[in-house]
Amino acid sequence: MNKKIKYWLVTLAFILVGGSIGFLFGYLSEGKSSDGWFSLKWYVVFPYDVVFFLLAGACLVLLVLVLRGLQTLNRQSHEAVDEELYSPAEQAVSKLFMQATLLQSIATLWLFAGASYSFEVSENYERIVGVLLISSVVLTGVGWILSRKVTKQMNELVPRLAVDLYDTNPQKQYNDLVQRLDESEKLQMYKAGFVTMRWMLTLLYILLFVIFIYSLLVESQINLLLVVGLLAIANQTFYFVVANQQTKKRRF
Amino acid sequence: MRLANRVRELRARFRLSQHELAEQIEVSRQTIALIERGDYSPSVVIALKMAQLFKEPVEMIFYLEEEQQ
Repeated sequence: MNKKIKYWLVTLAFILVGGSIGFLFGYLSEGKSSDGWFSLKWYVVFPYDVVFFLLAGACLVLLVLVLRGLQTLNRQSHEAVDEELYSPAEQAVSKLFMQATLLQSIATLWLFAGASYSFEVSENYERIVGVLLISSVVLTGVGWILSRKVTKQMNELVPRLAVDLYDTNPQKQYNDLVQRLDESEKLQMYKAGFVTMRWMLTLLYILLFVIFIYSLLVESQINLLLVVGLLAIANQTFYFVVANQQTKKRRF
Repeated sequence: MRLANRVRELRARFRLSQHELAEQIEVSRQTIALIERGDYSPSVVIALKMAQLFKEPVEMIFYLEEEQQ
């Protein structure tokens, strides 16, 4: 086995095992009782229990979907009929990639949600932060492994657009990938980038508005307003800078 | 006015699959599918390559037609 793969697998296996143990002993326990043992709780104690439950449920569903999708991927046809843009296998792998990425995003959300609650529940601060960090790292790790596996499948399906999973220079890899795209694919990529930017901006402005209203009605959230506002500005500026650079590079 | 084409018809006449045609003119199969569906207007280079392959003038493969309401 490749040394690099072995290293990552062993590291992730440790995170997985450690995280699972931490999750079981921490999440399901009410805290250390006087005799020093954990006691299991099966009811809602803090608001974060509900948040945890929802996030864990979403992660579990996505995990099952990705694993099942990977199992059935080989049975999908690799040949597209003329009316279709992509073969069933390409469509399936693209859906799997989205699910694996979503799993990673929700796991990260878990980390942030938990961390914010942990500040509210000060007496359980240490335990909660520990558990949240470990469980979110475990889930992000699992999501990471799955998205790598899906990317590998994508590489096998479309070798022309294969990406190196261990490349440490994403910018160079992106440039190489763009070179390998043909003219319609470049247009699709440009459209996808533009639509993503528009959606991101719209969502950020909606979020900004919601936080602003919340600040007026309930509690002042100046820091959050500043962060989201800066993100929106950075998003817009970055897009225009990149678009401008690309226009200058273009040969007519 | 929209750009219409006879790529599907000519490809069938030459008994080529989308994949084979794509390989011959060095583009992806998706590009051929998009052109046939009328969702993508190809560059002059692709149009000329197709004309060369199908032994037809470019304007016999690609032409403008009135958009239907």
